[in-house]
Amino acid sequence: MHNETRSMRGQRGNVLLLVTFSVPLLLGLVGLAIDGTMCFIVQAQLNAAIDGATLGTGRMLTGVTTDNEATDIAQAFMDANFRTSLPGLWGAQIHGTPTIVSQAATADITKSVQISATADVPLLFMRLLHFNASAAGAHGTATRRDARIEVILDRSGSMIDVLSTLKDAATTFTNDFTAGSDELGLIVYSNSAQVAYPPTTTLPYSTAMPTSGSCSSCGPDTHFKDNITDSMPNVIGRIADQNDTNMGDALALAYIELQKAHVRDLLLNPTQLDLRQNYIVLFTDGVPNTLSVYFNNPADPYNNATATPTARYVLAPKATTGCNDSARIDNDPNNHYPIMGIVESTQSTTFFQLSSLDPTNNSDTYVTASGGSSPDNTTASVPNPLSYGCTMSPNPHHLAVNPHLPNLPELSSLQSMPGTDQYGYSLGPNMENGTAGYKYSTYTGTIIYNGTEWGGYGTQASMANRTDYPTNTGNHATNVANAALNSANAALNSAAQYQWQMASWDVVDNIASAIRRDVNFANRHETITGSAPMVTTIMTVGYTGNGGTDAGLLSKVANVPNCKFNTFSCTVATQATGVYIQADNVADINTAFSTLMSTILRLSQ
Amino acid sequence: MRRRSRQGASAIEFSFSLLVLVPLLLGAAGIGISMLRQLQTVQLARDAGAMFARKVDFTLLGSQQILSRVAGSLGLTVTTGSGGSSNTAGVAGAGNAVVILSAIQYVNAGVCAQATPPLLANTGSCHNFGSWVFAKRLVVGNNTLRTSNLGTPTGLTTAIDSTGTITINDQCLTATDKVTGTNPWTNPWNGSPTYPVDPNSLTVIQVQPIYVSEAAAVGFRMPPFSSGTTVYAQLYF
Repeated sequence: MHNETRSMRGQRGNVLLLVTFSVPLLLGLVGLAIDGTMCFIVQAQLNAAIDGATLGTGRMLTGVTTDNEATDIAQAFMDANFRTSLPGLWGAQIHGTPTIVSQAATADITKSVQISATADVPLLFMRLLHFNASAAGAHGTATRRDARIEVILDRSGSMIDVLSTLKDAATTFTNDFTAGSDELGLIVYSNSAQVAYPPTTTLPYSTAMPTSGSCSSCGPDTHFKDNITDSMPNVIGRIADQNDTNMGDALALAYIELQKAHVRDLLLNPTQLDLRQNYIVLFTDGVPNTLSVYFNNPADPYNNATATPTARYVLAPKATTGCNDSARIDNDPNNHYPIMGIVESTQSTTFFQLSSLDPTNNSDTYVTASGGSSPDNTTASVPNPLSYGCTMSPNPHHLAVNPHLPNLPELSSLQSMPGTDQYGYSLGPNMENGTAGYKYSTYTGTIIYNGTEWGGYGTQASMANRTDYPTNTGNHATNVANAALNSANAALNSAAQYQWQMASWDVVDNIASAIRRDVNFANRHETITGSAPMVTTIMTVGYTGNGGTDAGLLSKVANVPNCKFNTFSCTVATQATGVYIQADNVADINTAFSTLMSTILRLSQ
Repeated sequence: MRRRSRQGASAIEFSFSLLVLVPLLLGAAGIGISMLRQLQTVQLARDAGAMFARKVDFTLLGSQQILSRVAGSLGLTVTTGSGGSSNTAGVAGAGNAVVILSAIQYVNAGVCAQATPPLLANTGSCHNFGSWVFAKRLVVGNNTLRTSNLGTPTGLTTAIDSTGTITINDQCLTATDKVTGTNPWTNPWNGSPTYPVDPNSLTVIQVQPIYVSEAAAVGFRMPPFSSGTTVYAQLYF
């Protein structure tokens, strides 16, 4: 009992003593945890700083001229991101200077920067044990591949309300690329397409490939943001609306422009392959309704009257008017006057408007993308078919000035549709990959071009009740009579109108396919070892707020993955797959361009 | 009897020791939570900035919800949606965190030339020539929690639209669109420069926007010991 009491007495204060003695240990453990967490946070800060520096520098890699410049930029980002004064760093400092290895000045289009850094983290508690500082390290790499981008913008009449938004979005898109390295070009299109950037210095537009690396108007270039009047952002700012949607013309020009840039770059660096990534970014708010044709093209088998007397002329013979006067419009090479122009299938416009390749085109308005109220279609091509006695409507520019819809004497002057468009692309359906052409596509807009309705004006039966029908007078009986009077013309022309409409869609499909296959590769005779067809990714944006677009056609043009028309697959696995973005409202237009920018950057970094 | 008198002695001693242990543990927990929030804030700024620099559109509700998920327990509450800058909408934000995204641009001759009509490259014509200005500003979350270190573009009704974009003309002409706060691109060497190069001398930096991501969140709060000092992170991309 006594011993037990003494033992008990001896244990008094044991807990307190144990706790007291364990406090330093606990404090040490807590301090270790805090110091460790500090190091962990500084490590995270350093990781984030290097992330920001590599991404920021990576974006600019293509704009630098020397490796030192890239190093300076990376250092500037590091200084901005890892400042000792920032909260959460507890006085941590970069040990020495970051190690920055850049490969920016290389002629290779893939450039990279690597950043490694170590930070000294002052410790709070562990310094009691003479551990004054710890180290945290991080490493980051960014690569950037130069891009070549042809932007195609729709300036058709329906764009008038959203043109401003489109221009802002396109300007932002343009400004996000790096001048000096990325190559950008711009094509705008309405009833025909125009190369708006780089500006065409010599008119008319030439499809010839460059013969020198110093060619200044040869496809997308790196000077698109130069401080000049015709810089790409400035040209975008001057775009004005116009009529019609000649999407095929725009795509054909885009392919020519991309090839020009490709050849120019090969001439600049004749020993190196051109591995730049090619993109076409196409925006539209409607469906193709216009195409460019060469009516008396000697190369067109349907136009070769000399070789086969029974062959059809594209231009129909008009016995009483002399439209088929072979001395002037036939295939005699000594007296051949090319008649090029557009056919617009939904309005009663004419084929003597200027087309992109019209050799007589010398209009400044035409190439500066500032059509506005004096559009290019006020200028007739020379020679004008009218002067050959072809039947033309008296004022055949526009629906608004043509009192009889559908009055298409121009189309009735044609005996047959040419086999190809002005560039030589087939006007028939693209049967590639068993897709059977676009005619299986799904059009969800309000205008159905199926041969039974008039472009934009409904069926014949409903015409009389349409107040926007040009011959309507406000009197229903008169309207019915007018509709009946027009019906004869309508019956004759509806089939032609339908066929032209189909052709204007088919040619878009065919050109897109040709671009993705780089069909002209063999004709370029590239001799450098390892030469291969250009790889071009097509990205499309359809704004549906102006009556609808053809999502199927735009998906097919972009060759999107898992594209389907009814039961047909429309994705060609061997060709570059792109992106189709549907913009349902004005805000979506900005989003669409941001997404495309992001997509291109993601591929590049 | 004596044994009974010793009953509870350990408990009393332990309770005394708790006077030391409890604050120690609470302090450690508080510091730990605070550090965790700092870590989350850094991560939020990093992820938001990386997405912003890659053109993710944060005016969309879906994009903002991604940020909200990235923020985790920081409590970033999305209050708007399309046009989602609380700043532009004038809507008082909610939640315990905010992300402020800015694109800043150096106004050089090229920018002045993009104005409508084009402006000459001098401060008489292009007032902000030679300055860094805001090209875009978006705020997601509680906009009352913290303002940007870079300053706030004012004249919002005219200078900034629903997408947070500031027009080229405003960038060139509106004085209140200048970056006025701590901007390392403006005065990079006022502190302790480690590299003797002024980034403003690098043309390539002048022609591209710099993306800035700032994130702030309410820190650990345990009144009266900790009032929840705001934790903050800022990154340039």
